[in-house]
Amino acid sequence: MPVVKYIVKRLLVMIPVLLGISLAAFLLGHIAPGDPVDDALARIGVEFPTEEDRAEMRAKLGLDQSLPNQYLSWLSRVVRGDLGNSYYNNKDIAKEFRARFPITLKLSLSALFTAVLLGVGGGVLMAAFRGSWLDKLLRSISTLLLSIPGFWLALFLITVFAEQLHWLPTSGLDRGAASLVLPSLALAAANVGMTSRLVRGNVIAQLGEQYILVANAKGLPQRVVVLGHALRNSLVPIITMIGNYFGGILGGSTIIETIFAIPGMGSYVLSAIQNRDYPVIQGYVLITGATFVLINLAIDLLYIAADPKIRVGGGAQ
Amino acid sequence: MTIRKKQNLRLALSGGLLLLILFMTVFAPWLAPCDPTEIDMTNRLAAPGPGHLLGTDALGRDVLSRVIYGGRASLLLAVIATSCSMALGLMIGLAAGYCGGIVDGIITAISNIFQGLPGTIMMIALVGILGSNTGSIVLALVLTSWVGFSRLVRGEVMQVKQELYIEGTRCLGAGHWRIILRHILPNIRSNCIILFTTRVGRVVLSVAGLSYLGLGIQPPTPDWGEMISGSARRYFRSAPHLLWAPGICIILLTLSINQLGDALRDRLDVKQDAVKEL
Amino acid sequence: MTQDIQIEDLNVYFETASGPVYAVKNLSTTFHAGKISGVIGESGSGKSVMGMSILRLLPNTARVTGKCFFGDQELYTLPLRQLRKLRGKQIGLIPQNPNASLDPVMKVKRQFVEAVTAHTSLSRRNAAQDAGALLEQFGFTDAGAILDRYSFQMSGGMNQRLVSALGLINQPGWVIADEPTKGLDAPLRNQVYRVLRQIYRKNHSSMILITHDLLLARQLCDDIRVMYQGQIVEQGDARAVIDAPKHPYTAGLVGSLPSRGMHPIPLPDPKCEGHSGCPFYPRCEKATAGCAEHPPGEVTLPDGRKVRCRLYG
Repeated sequence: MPVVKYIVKRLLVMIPVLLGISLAAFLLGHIAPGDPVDDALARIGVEFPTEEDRAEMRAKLGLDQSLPNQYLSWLSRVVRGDLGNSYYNNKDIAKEFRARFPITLKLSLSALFTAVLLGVGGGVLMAAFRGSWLDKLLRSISTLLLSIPGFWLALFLITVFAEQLHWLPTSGLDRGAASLVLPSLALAAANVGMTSRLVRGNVIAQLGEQYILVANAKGLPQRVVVLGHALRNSLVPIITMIGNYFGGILGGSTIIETIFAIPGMGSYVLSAIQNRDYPVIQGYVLITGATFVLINLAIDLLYIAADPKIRVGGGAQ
Repeated sequence: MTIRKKQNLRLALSGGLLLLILFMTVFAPWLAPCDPTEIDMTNRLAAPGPGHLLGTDALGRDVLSRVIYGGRASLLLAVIATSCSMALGLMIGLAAGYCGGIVDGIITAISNIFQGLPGTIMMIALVGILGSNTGSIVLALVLTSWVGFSRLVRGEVMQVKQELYIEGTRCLGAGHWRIILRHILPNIRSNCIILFTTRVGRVVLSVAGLSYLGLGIQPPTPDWGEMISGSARRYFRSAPHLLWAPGICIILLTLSINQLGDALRDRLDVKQDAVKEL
Repeated sequence: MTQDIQIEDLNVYFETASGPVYAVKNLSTTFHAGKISGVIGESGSGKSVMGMSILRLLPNTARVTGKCFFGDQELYTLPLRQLRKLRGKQIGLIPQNPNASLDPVMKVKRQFVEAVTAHTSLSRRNAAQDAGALLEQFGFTDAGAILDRYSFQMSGGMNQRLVSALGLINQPGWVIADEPTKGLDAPLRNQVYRVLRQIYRKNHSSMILITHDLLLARQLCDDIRVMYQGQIVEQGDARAVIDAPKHPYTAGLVGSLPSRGMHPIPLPDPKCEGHSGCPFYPRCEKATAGCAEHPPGEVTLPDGRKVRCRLYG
């Protein structure tokens, strides 16, 4: 079965990347400035530790082991869902992330959805009306969107739609879908620009193909030719790109969450950075990294729908 | 108007705008009417008018002067960081493409992992842990963007290596360095220039984002991103120019860089997919 | 009743970075209903551009002037919406390069069904049945299985038959076959030949056959147009033109056939470049000094054929 082979291959490719992310998160904790032993002792109130105190704490933290061993024991704890306790308030980090993760995921996915919807829609319109005033207008907008910093756009959107027109809330999440509109737009903006340009280029390239000429010769309406054939054939590169964007969206959500006062992982990690709360930063890298990989895996599965060669095994008989 | 002329015009327009911004940034000390860091608590949040053409911020500093100075740090940082990633990417990509075999395998595996890491998050985490100084920002930017260059270089090297004339020169006794310098580097020049340009645009935005979070350029150094985060966020209802002026500067700078990249792409006739956005 | 296709004063040029490039120049001809009309010439002679212009399937960069009458409709200015109703329904296309002519991500069945449902109110199931029946006529014994495949799962010959069938699914009165034998080996060319014959006999379709294959043209066509650099240099009865060519270029094409001794047409004489006369002048063996001065007009010979050469005028 070509499909099973494909899925297994994707899963195998995923493993080294996941390990890479965990290694990165682990090493981040190690390059943090300051002596972790002294810091740990200071947190339990030992301001002037003796050598014995330090040796004891070093053993307790597992720092007397070799680096690979430390990584393995850290990894085994992390896999069991133990991200340690916060340096700042000694709370369980995993528990905090469990509460915040769905919020960030909701925001990121709705931004991804917005980017796909507006980006693909705009790109198809540009390609279908290539060279017209509409194409020029949308192309200028997409170029502009690529150059606007997300945080500035967020403040701009708040000023216009929340403060002046009072259509949408300025911050928080208590008004359901309406509260997600502005953050999603601000988060998606740059990706809308990139997606629409990519879609335009790919659809135009497909429109020059021979099978499009044949589709036109059959007398199909333009809508069917552009959407049913040209866009359908551009899906593989578009899906690849969307997967890449999701990382940017996850990262960008950090900024957007602070602006809109959304209690997701981003605002948590920012306060952790101010408090030098390293385990939280480690957990943040780990969770967002793994989410990124998993979402990409899900997107890879879309290829099965988009590319029949994966389904039937490809090539002339 | 022929297509070529149109391309040249676009190149000139975007290049001209960029040069104008660069000029303003480089000659800031001569152009700025005031000292951008001079605090005047008696004249806080003044509206635009004579004396302070763009008003003053929450600490009474002249906004116009801060805007004129505001591109310096981030632009310099962006150029340095992108140059470093390009140098690193070039070396790694050359090694992978040129040596092939096991070296290539290892490098490809490592770049796959680096590409799997979400860039913005790694950047925030690295800067967050190492502290926001120039060194850690450059390090974070380089670590998250060298893969793009090395991929590009590796692909080109593989292709050039296949071509017969390289075989020919090797038969004539040309050394490895000669082949790299004379045949491989000229072939990837246009692609590198374009990727460098788009990267700088991207990095300017990233640095602005970091500054906005308080992780990038640190006050009192004037910076557009920091200007928006500092006072503008709190006062943009009463003093919207605090948001507009630096915002428009960032947009114009990124816009001109992006347009320059597009114009170069058309003008140097590089295939769209050769420079993949990463 | 099917109508003639009549092209008047067609010019097609492409805007390029170095100015306009003409693919077709001042071309006028009539394709008669009920006949197989051949268009022959080397690649780059503008024959495919001429053919595609009838259905307005040229790339966006092409600029078209002139008129093309199909009955009382003028195709070049007809609103696109109406032209789409005509495409496939009244004028079908058998494209060149069959392997690239089918959508690679869509099953063959759907490509046939949408061709039918675009023009009729037939249900999808009935349309699929029609397609299956047509494929059987084209020599597919397991039409059902074929319809369930993608084009990349099939050989070049199968794709060739599929695109031919696709062009005929709505039984159009006219068929434009654009280089149906291009790049095919001898057995496949014979197959195409059989298929085209069959189409003509069964459907009584009128046909425009665009090809560089002189033997195919002679076997199939009633009349023939020979194109050189965007112009028709000779047109007339197919056998007469190929057996007794009048224009030096037609004579050269015939003479370069393997069966006629394979004498190639000479390459352009560099000394003759940059003239304003007959486009064939630099390669013509019968050229006279006058050929470089003025482009020759079209002359009608006693047997009814038209030749664009000073030898006859």
